[in-house]
Amino acid sequence: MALLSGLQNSLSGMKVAQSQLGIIGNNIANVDTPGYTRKTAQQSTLVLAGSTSGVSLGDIQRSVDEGLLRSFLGSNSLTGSYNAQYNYLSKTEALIGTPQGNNSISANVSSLQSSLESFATDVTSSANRYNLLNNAQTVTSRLNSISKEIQKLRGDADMNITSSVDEINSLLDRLDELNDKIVKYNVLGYDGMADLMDQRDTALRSLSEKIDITYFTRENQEVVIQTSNGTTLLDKDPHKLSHSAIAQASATSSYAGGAISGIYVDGNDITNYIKDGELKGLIEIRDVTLPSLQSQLDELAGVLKNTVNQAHNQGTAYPSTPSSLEGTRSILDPAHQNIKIENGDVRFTIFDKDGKQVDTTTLTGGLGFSQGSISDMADALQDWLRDPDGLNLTQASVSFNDDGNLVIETGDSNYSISIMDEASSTPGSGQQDVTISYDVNNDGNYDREFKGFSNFFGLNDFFDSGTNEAIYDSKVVSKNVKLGLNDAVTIGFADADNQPLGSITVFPGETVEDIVKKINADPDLNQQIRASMVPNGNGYVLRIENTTGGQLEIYENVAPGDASSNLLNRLGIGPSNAGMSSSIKVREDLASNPALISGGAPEFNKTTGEFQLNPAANTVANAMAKAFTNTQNFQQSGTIAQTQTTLANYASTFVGNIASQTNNAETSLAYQQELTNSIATKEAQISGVDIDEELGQMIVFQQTYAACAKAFTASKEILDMLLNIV
Amino acid sequence: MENLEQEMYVKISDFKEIVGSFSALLVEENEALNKFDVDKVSKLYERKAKSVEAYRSLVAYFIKNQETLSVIKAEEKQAIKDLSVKLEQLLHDNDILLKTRMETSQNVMNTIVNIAKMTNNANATSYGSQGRYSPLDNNKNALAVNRTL
Repeated sequence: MALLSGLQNSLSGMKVAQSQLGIIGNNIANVDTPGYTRKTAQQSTLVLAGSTSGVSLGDIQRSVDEGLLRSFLGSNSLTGSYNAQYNYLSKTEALIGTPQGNNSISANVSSLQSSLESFATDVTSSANRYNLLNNAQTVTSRLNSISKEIQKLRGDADMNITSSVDEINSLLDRLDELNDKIVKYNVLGYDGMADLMDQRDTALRSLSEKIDITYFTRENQEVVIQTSNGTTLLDKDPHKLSHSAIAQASATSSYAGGAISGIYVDGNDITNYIKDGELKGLIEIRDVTLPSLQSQLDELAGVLKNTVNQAHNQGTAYPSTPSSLEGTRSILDPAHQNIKIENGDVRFTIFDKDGKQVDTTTLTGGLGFSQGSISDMADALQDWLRDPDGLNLTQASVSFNDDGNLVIETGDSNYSISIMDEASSTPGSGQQDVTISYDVNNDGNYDREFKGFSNFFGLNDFFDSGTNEAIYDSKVVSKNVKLGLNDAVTIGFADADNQPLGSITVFPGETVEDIVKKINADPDLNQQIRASMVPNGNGYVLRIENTTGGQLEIYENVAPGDASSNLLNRLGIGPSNAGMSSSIKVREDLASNPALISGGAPEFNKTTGEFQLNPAANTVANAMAKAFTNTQNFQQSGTIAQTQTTLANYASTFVGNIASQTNNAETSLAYQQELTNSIATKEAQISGVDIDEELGQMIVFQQTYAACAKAFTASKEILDMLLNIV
Repeated sequence: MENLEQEMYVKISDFKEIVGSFSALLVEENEALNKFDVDKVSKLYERKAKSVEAYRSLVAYFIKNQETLSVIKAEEKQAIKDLSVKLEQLLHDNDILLKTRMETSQNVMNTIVNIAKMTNNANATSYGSQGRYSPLDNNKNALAVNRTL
């Protein structure tokens, strides 16, 4: 038995050796045949009834080919993703301009800064005033157009997603058809199955460019295709994708917020599970890259508006001093919303046509209002204006228009009104913004803080954005960041009539995502309020939106005597800047009459003890110019971290950031395309390989790569040096 | 100083020649890499190593004598810059081609290793849970103990 077994083992070994010699001979004979793929054979131990019985020759194995095909599909998916991203980033770069270009937004902001500096040197010059207005309008229209184009590109990306979904569905139909044929040919033993399999491989390659896929082949030779996260796309029948493109994207429309449709398979939303391919690239562009750019642009517009407005609200135009002022802040319920004045006093001065003081008073020292309801404050001011023993402006009024904006009118075109914050109630104590604390819901707890009385009400804004505070955003946070609460906190929501919409209670140990879930699950709130986590750079922004588009107020409900947890402050929740860049504009009456631009503020004459308006006063123009030279605080937006820098530098960073992202995308795409080509070439050259030979090739590549790296370092050094001296 | 300047012009001439031949070599190597012609790449290696060394020594000379370089004719400086930019692009292409070839080879080797692992696992024999050779039990790594003994 042992002898027979030994002979059997030897015989099998000889057969294997003979077959291998045949394959080697064939390889040598075809060495110069174009397209011929070298074949190798695999030998394996033959085991019969648990005993070793020699060696057996396996099929000429396609395993390496299969492995390479899988590598190709993965690499091809990544190429598709980078390709989509690069296409859109290069379009965005062309739109925004390069850091060196004269037509970029950073160049526009620098021009505005220069014109403000010129205006400050001579505020009486009409040319300076018009130049300032022109440059301010250039900046706002540029911000508007870039924002519009970014949203258009988002809309285009969403349309491309729909086209891509259609192409994927066609490929799945084709693969299904080929599967059926291959199974049939396999069972019936027809010729031509290899060709059909090649066609199927080609379709698989095309599919991998669109979406990340894995596949396996059943014994009957049909393939089953899944996405890399396991969603079945083809198993006997195709499971088709569906997506509805958005009609028009805006800065506030997001997939996370539900305004943009997901990509569905069998009723399940797979958008977040797509890892690669053109679809992933387009999703990334639509939901992350472009919204990040939009948020940076909005941050720039928001800081520009706030800093310039804060300075401009300190001023009074002269000689075109207005006899009425209209605010931009909507006060929902003046009788039940309170303010508190601290760190100074608010001075109201009435001037005649010659810029001479007619009367002056202060809110705290003169009118006795330091805190209370906004309507009480308005009444006190109106009483002063109408006082028969004082100004006696019988037609004067202090009221709120239909939008809830504060309107102050002297009721007589011969008398103008000026508002200026001072360090104290003493006339001429020095211009200084007061602190306004704002109690939104009359609970005795001041929810938000602002600088400057006129700035709070927006009575002399330079820039207007027409936002109505329907959306609130947090700063950029991690989804699972713990809120760090010691006690439960109740967050309340109110609508445009200051009617409570409902509230949620947040407990210690809960996360930002829990807030989203609670708001969206609350039957009272979810009628009108929607919360979402909107991707922003490497984190998320908690977005809370009044879906009716009306104004929203958010506040902490604190029981009397309890300390506030400052949860809203800690999360940085406040009215959103989203879309600010699309709507920012120079205030309409300033745009049509640049004489209304404030260059200075009333000056106190110590000799007369009165205030007067001086046409050459330039304190406000200087303050506005300073807003550009001083560093400002910019919140984290997209890929730009929180930073303290000037407006022009931030604009440069924004432009440079896009250039850098485009460059990175181009490099990644070039590498990925070459890798895909490399795998495809290798796949065509081999169908079975020798690991020793492969290792040999690897060593050649490694040593020549080491030489390349050395030269690369030297090349970078000399180029850096030459850029400095040429 | 004059001597240094003269020497600088000689070095610039050397630089032009070396960068010219190095660039030609890189074009050749990149073509070979595109065709996956490993033999050609291997044959070019010695020339490449020598070119890199010569190029690096000239770069080191220019960096060391930056002051002299800065006072030479503007067109010469521009010529060096143009050549360097061209070389940089070729090196960049070379870098991508080599990295992707290495990644592909690594891919192939990983595939072979994985296939070998799976094949060996399926074909190797070991004691199974039934107390005899069984390829089906290869992953279990079981040890059978006869408790009656």
